[in-house]
Amino acid sequence: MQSLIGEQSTKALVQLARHEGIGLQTGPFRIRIKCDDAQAVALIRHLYSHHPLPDSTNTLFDFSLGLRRPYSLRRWWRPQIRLTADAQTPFEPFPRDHAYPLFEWGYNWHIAMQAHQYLMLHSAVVEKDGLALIMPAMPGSGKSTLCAALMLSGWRLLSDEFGLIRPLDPDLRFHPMPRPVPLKNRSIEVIRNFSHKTTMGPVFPNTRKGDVSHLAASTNSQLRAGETAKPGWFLFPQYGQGLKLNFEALSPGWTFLKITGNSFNYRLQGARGFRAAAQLVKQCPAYALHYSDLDGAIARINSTHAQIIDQHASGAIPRAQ
Amino acid sequence: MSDPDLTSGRWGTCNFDQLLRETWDEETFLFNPASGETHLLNAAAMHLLELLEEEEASFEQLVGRLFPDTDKPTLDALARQFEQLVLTGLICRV
Repeated sequence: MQSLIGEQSTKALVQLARHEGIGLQTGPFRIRIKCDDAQAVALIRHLYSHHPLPDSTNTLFDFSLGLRRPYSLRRWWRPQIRLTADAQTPFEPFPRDHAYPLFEWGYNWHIAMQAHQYLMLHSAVVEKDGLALIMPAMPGSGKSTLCAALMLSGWRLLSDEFGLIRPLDPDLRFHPMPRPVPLKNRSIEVIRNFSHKTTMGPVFPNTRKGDVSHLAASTNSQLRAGETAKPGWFLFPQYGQGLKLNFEALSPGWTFLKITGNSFNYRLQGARGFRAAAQLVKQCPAYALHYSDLDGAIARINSTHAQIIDQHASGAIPRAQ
Repeated sequence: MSDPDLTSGRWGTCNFDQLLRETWDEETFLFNPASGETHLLNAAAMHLLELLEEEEASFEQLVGRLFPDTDKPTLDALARQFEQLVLTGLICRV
């Protein structure tokens, strides 16, 4: 049985990261991380503590990430950190104390660029009672905040960013990748106030997305990263200060347009992507939710989820073909 | 008419039988394997495409079938829709 990241000491992981690299398995992906920044390694240990740690010398990795201080003046003066993704450097160097957010963005970049065995919806996905709730991302929608609050209310996190399905899977089940949820700006305080059971990293101020802090996936989500989930329903959330709770059904055509337009690789998938997206839309009812109060939104989501489970069980919603 | 080229020659659908199709309410999504593009057509555009699939026709014949006594604004709108279908590769000259 593989050991878990959190079972290793920080010192041992820092040594490993400097030399052979740390193996990290998140859901279906195995990555190797070589890193000479001890703070970033300590954070990986803190936020991925229940993830398996594959043997970095005896594992076939899907991709490799490197986080290295440059061999230049910027190693010491206003120090920087540089990300390499396999043989590429997709981003400009970051300030050294932003090594961890750079690691997370590099990880996202690698998946979005390479994991084309999946149709990748730009969505948060959470699961309860075997059925997935898919929340496609719209800029400024408050998707990550709602996703984090649902996870802290007992839902299992599959992903905050990637809705992964194999387009040729007849059941179109969602594959988990329960990585930390990046909370931004005001959401950090909202989630801290929402639950005292959170495992969070530090706040990284003034990143390209504002202030960012990472919320670890729940232990349950991390330990069940191998369990796929049946597609259940779509929710397009929209947070707005003072908004009255409003919940309304959306047309399949609108839903199809939004999920394909917002996918990382729909065009690349060709006909199989079209078929898979259409099947998902037929199988999953879609709703819009406008809200300002997290507790009210979660109560509405829970009651709708229970109804949708009943509809799936009774055959009122078509099954995958 | 905005595109004089439409007035000449006959038109038909391009690889209509290979298109993947999903219709919800009044909207049809078409995936064209030849171009890799997905198109959203309203009911009128889809009807136009189906008429051309049944039988190739000139633009004037098509207008005659759809709107025998049409006014100019309707004709212009139809021409624009027709042009869009030509540009997307769903309709071509035969």
